[in-house]
Amino acid sequence: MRTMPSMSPLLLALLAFGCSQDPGEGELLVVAYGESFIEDGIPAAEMDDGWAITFDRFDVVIADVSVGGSSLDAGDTLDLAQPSNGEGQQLGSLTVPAGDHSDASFQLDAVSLAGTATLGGVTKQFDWSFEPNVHYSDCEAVTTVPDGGQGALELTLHGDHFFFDSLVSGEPAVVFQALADADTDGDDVISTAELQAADIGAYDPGSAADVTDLWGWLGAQSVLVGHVDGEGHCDSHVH
Amino acid sequence: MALPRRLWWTALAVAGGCVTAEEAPRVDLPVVVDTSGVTPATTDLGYLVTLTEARLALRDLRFTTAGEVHTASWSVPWLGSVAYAHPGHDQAGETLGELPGTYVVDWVHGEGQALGTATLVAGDYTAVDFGFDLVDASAGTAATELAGHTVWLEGTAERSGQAIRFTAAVDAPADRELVGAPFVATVTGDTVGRIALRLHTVDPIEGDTLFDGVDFAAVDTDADGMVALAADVPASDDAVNLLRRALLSHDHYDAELQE
Repeated sequence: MRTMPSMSPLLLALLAFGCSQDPGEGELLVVAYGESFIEDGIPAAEMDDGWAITFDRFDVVIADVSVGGSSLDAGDTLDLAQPSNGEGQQLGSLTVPAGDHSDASFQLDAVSLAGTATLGGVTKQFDWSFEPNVHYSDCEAVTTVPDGGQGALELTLHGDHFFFDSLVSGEPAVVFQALADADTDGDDVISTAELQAADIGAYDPGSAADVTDLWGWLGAQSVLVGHVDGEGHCDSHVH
Repeated sequence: MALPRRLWWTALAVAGGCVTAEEAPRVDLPVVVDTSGVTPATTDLGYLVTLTEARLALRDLRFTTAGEVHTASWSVPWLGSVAYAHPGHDQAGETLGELPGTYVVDWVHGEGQALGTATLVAGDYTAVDFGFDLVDASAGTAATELAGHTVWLEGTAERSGQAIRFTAAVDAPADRELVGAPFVATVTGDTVGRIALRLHTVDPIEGDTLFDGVDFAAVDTDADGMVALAADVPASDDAVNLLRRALLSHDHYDAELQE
């Protein structure tokens, strides 16, 4: 005769409670935030080779935000370089069941960044656009929405990832020199063509053997910029 | 060997999501070096490269059920269906087996070299991961050339009747992990055999070699037929970068369950 695995009375009580109680609903406010690094720039002290970065524009297109069985299409372009007093740019709001949610996911369709990098008397300009089309899921964050109240979910974009020297290291260096060196025509504008012609050099692509030039490198990094609630990591899948 | 606690929890979680008091079957399997993948290789620049020495310092092998696996369809991530790893979060599969410790593997002379006994929980495996190590200078005479490095190579590169002898010292970044080298195997509690670990001079799936792009003649600036590829040899910078990328990629490693 088969026997059922034992289950604690407490667990049974919790399951019964969960099946019979309506948790209610609340509102979830969703924002996209580039933190100080994108709004104010990356100071030289935060870079490993002394360059300082400022962004004139850091446009993102985010879609398909999903939490607790509700979804927000979004899809508008947001400029995360605009000052927000730490609030981020509002994407919209969702009505979700009250409670704790750990199933946030979203899609980053496009990233376009323009700005300057400065070291000493040298200034380099950049204006780059990528379409990562990456879906983030299983994010390391718990979003609490009270019954009849409001919770918040922050989709955090990390601009410094574009200047990481590794695709796989947990503690990469944050550098710009190789990108500056790609400006081979000396016009102080780092173009897409120049980046495509520049080998990644000492950068570490992990096992991404197809990432061999700096344009490909930046594209690969664009896939990795998405987080939640600051430092919460997500699994990322490219479509 | 006692199974680490984290492996038991993983095994229980994988077993259908239903936690019972029963322990998942496990098996101890020796891990040995298989040198069959180190063969003469003709590079994209036409060099026939033959290795006479190839040693690698690695640590902590982990056998996983899924994750970042090397397939021929891999491509640039925004063009293909690649699950990309966040730095420090490699999206690896569930670890169901491991061989902890640090090892110096001799890929040329070490056929059958026993690294140790791995403990694996029964399951379907897809990949092996490990860490790259840097050999301490006090590691012993067998690893003299490896001191301070991760990989030491010696060999010859021949092209158009000209032979160039080379050495290469390659260093991995600190705490660098290799994720997703193929290890396709079904392990049960009755499995008997060994796990063979291989380095491939020629990627068995895509056909590229460890030395693709390395122009040995260009590094031989004094034309004496001998070159050293190392971080402290500026003329070899490009070659070292290319070689390091290949050696730190999962494209050139795999493991096989030999029952």
